[in-house]
Amino acid sequence: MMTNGFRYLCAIALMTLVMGCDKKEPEGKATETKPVEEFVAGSNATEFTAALTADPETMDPAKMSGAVEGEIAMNLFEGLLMPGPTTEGLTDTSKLLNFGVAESYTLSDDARTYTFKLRSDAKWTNGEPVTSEDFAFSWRRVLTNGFPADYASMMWVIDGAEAYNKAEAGTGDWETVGVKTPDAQTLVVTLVNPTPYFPELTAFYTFFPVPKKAVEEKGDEWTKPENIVSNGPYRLASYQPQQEIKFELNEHYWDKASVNLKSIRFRIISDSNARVNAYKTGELHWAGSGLPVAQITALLTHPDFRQEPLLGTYYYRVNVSKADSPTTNVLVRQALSLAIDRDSLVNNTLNGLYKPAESFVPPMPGYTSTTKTAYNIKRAKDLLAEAGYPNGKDFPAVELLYNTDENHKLVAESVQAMWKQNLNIDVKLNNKEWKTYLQDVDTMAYQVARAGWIGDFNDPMTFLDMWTAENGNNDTGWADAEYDALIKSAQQEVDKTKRIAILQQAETILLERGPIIPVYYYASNLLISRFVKGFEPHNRDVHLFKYMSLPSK
Amino acid sequence: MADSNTHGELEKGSSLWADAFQRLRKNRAALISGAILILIALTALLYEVVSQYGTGFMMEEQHTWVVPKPPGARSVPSHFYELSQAGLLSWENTDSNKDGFVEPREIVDAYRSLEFSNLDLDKSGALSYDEYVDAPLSRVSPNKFIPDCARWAMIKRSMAPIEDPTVFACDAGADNLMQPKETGKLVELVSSGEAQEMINRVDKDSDGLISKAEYVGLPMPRTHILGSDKLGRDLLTRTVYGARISLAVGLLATLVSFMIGVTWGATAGFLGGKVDNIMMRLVDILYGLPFMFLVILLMVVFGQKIYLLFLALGAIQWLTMARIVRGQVISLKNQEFVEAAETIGVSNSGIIFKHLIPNALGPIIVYATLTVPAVMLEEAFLSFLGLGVQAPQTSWGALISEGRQLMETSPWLIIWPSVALAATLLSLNFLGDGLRDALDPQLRKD
Amino acid sequence: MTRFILRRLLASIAVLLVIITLSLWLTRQAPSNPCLKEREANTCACVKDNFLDRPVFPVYSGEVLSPVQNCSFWKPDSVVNLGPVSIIGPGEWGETQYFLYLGTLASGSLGQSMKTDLTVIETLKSGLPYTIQLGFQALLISLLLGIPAGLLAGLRQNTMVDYSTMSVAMVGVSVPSIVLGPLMIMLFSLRLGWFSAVGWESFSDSILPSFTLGLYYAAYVARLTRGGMLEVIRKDYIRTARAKGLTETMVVMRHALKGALLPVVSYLGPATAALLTGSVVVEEIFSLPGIGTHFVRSALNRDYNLVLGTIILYSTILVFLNMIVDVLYTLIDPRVSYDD
Repeated sequence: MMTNGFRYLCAIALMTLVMGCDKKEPEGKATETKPVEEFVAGSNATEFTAALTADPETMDPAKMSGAVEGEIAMNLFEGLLMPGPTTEGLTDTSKLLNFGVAESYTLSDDARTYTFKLRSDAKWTNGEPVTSEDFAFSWRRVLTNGFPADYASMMWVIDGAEAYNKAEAGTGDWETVGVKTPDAQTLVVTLVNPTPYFPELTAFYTFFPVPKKAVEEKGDEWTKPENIVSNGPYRLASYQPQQEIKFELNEHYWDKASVNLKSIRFRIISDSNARVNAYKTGELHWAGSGLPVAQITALLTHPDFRQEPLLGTYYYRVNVSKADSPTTNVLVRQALSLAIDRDSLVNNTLNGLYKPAESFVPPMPGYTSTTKTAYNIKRAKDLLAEAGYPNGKDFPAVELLYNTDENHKLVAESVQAMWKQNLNIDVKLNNKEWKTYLQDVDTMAYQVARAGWIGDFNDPMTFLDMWTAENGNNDTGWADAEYDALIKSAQQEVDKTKRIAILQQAETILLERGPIIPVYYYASNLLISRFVKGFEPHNRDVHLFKYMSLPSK
Repeated sequence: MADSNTHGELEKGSSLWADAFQRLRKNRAALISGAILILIALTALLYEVVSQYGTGFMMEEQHTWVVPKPPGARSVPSHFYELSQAGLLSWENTDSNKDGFVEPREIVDAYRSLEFSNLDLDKSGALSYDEYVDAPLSRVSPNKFIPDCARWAMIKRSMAPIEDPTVFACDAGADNLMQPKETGKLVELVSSGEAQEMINRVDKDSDGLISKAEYVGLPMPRTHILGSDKLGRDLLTRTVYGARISLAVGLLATLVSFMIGVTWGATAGFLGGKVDNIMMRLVDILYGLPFMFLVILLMVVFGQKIYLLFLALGAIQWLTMARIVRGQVISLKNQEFVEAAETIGVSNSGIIFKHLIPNALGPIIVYATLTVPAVMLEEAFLSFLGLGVQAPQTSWGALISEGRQLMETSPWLIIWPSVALAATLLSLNFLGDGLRDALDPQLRKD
Repeated sequence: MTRFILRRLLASIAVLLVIITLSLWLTRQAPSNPCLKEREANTCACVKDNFLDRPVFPVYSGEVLSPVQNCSFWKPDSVVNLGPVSIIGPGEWGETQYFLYLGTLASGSLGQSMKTDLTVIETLKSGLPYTIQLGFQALLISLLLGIPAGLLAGLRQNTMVDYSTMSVAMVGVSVPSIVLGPLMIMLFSLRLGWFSAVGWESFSDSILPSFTLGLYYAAYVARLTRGGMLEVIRKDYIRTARAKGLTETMVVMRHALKGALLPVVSYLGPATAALLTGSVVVEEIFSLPGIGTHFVRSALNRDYNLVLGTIILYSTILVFLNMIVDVLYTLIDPRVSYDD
């Protein structure tokens, strides 16, 4: 009879209800959320709670390459050196870093050999000491051919590393690589060129040590919460996919005494609006960057809102390899760049949330660009006419590619309108989803494509070396012998002042005849509780928990 | 043939459809709904007329401002409607430095003084706090924190002017009146880029300036009746345009799903046995395929031709329609009228199309009227992911999905498209009910 | 009936196999692949790890290319070239992506996710209980609200009760979860503070999402029930029951209800399955764990193994549900039988 079927359905439903009620409530959670008139960050959280935008793809520092993973690795592990609390107000790069596992280092006269002295009290979460062998093992692992290390190429600054990495599996000889461990407390690294930013590289997660024993024993399972061994201020306490990650203080950390936040909770919230909502209901202390642009104008007056410069540039990449495309003509590229009113774009369309790009390399300690972008309609028109398209006549259709995102759409539509207004050319917008967009760029099946680049370290090289002819991130077909020569000589230059001058020259070439049109510099717009101490502006958005403290309520 | 004039008792026979149409005409709700739907469809078709003579804005023209403008705010349309040379937009007033040329900055200033005079209701030459609050572009503070003057100076270019006396005092003079110079974003009507565009249109000698000979006047600002979105696009114009795409999606996809689904489900349900099994297993297979991949592939293959995408959406909807029809037919096929038809010798297809389907029409129509919103919202979901209608084209679904981001601060962006959608669907609902009643075989006269 | 069920089970397995094969092929047709990242990064190692440099099926046309340029590709040892089509020697069929995947399935695993460190089973396992609970709660809400509303409207056809309930229902159908969800959060979490805005830590966190999901389907169910009730209410056997002197309630509950529910039951199969995937939006807005996001994200990431894992899960549930629905038909309408 019908009633039986329905009874059965009701039974199942009731069971699920009962199961749901049975779920354990986390200890200490407020059983009732307070009504919110004016939100006080973290008022409904029991420990310092931050938000992550997605589940980490991996917890292995050797394999990772994303902001979420970096956030985790920077606090779970520790490299030879570590980023300092801030980059603001620094005029040179020497104050950027603090010592981590290394307590000191010396540099040879030719600036190519670093000798690191490791602390004797640096320990893993299982109490074992961190030795130079761990570092050698970890770096060798990254450079192993076929190992899926996304940032392996960052290690190619080490002598012999590139060859070792490219040699067919098993044929490389580790002895030729400039990483030596004369004793457990000493690590000697020899580089190909003097690389003044190498100390900052050691503070990047690809260079972090992984525990040799645990990795050899457990293989790919070593990052599971029950197995993982790390050497940073925190250890991984638990991980619930799609929900939360919990950190606890590492009892064996050498600098344990200066760590104030004893436990950290990350909530995994992928929707940016949901992150703001969680912040407003007091469930988060730190809502991170990546706030929904639409809501930022409503948050500007809140004392928890901060805007900090970010080391990154939003630009348009121009494909110069297609013979029939007008963008192969350098005059056209210059005209396009001169016809963009970056000030209006940033202040009107983007509500002043970013900074107009004055050049390609954003300002950083120790470097300022010498060439600037400009907005000059008359000059743009003249250049376009010189290129053979007076007042946009006969200008072939150009397609502007961007990946699906509100912000990119806004900027693209504004730039399209500006080019139409100022140069009278028609540009078609092409919006593709992320993966298809990546493929189009990778196979150079585009004419102009939106791009963004965040610097990995505070040196102009991270923005400039990608434009050499063989670099895999070039993707434009642009090759300029003079540019490549300048980059190469900068890489070999020992004198710091001379090196900066060479790089400024290279950037000038890039802006004058390169395949890029800079648009704006990124900025971090974030929400962080105003009661948190030790959270200072950092241009790579690296805020280590070991520097922070929260006064007890 | 009976002569109905002489023998009044003999009734004229009527077909099922004529009979149904008669009954439909008596259903007032259905008629009103039908009228509303026709009205909406006509407006959508005549979008250009609405745009040119109604709102004055085109659906893709942008006027960027810091936040979406509320209903009642003004912008200057990009196409020259109502060029004016009078008053504040006259040559004498616009060429403020009297150098014989008008440049973008002077145009911007001319519009600022025009808007200022609009807001200055008592014509005192300065804005009082009440006039400031009445201005359409000033908004209540989005949260409880009121910035001090230093912070306000930093953020004022990123926010709409805040309706608060302390903030007003930051920019007002000692007499608590705001002078034209301090009004900032409050009276901004055109940006320098738009001013440049206006110049380009009449600039015959391409010197980037307008001379007295070239000056034909400047366009008068128009009001956004329903407000504008964050790119300054008029909401009413876009909603009318969006009707086109949404109605097309809804109707085309539903038509496709109706035709395929009904035929398939009825056939499977009636024939039963192995045929039914195979047909329904095919439906299962199609159901199991990954929808997202199908959509991505369709986008790649069909690209910018949205109408093919709509057909594809319909092609996915027919699966559920088939299941429902099959269910109806299975329970209907054992009834006497089917047996009777079989006895007379009606063919299988005759039974399916002339007997079973008309009798099963009730739930079919109900489900069809439910498919229309489902498809419209599926299209919204796709544009949520960036896979549907591409900018600058828009649909109600896309408008709703864009508007939901700003629901708290700019609710009009989501209210009006939702009202349009709900009104359309409600009308469809009553019309569908009317149709269902009209075609109900049990209400037939004979 | 048992024969019917057995036959359906066999057919279901065949259906699943076809779905897997077609899906495997379909996923590889979409442009791009899981290995491409914003920064050019060791893509060749990723391609090799995931066997993307192999042909998908033993029969293929053209050349076997790696999906990423400049990476070496796998070359079959024994190939028979038949003009437009090439066939790999039977000994190497096990090296194709299709048979490698079937092998993985046979060993009881759904493979390794191509984007994260976790296996597909681990990824789905962590979210499945939440999605099932959410789906059931939403279903319950939709039935508890929708059926009585539809019955009432059908019984009082063309009165104010009918118009108002159906108008509410229609408005419910036209308000997508994308809008309803944030509205509910604004009202109940931010203004009133009754519920948490994100996450799922206790039962109360599932109430808003269940309503957001369920109200939409409640509107559907109400409309379908009303339609079904209208079909049934004028039938002769109802008149008979009334003539016999039964109270209206008895008439409705014992006689009319079954017929009225027929369209709802037809709809329940796909509806329940849709609740599993429809939860994508709700999961995103309320930041809930669940498998709904994987349906969309894995496709956007081209994580082929996870996509196929979700497809297998979804199809199994769907096929099973459809079978239950067909069985329910016989319970509701005694005239329906499948034995022939």
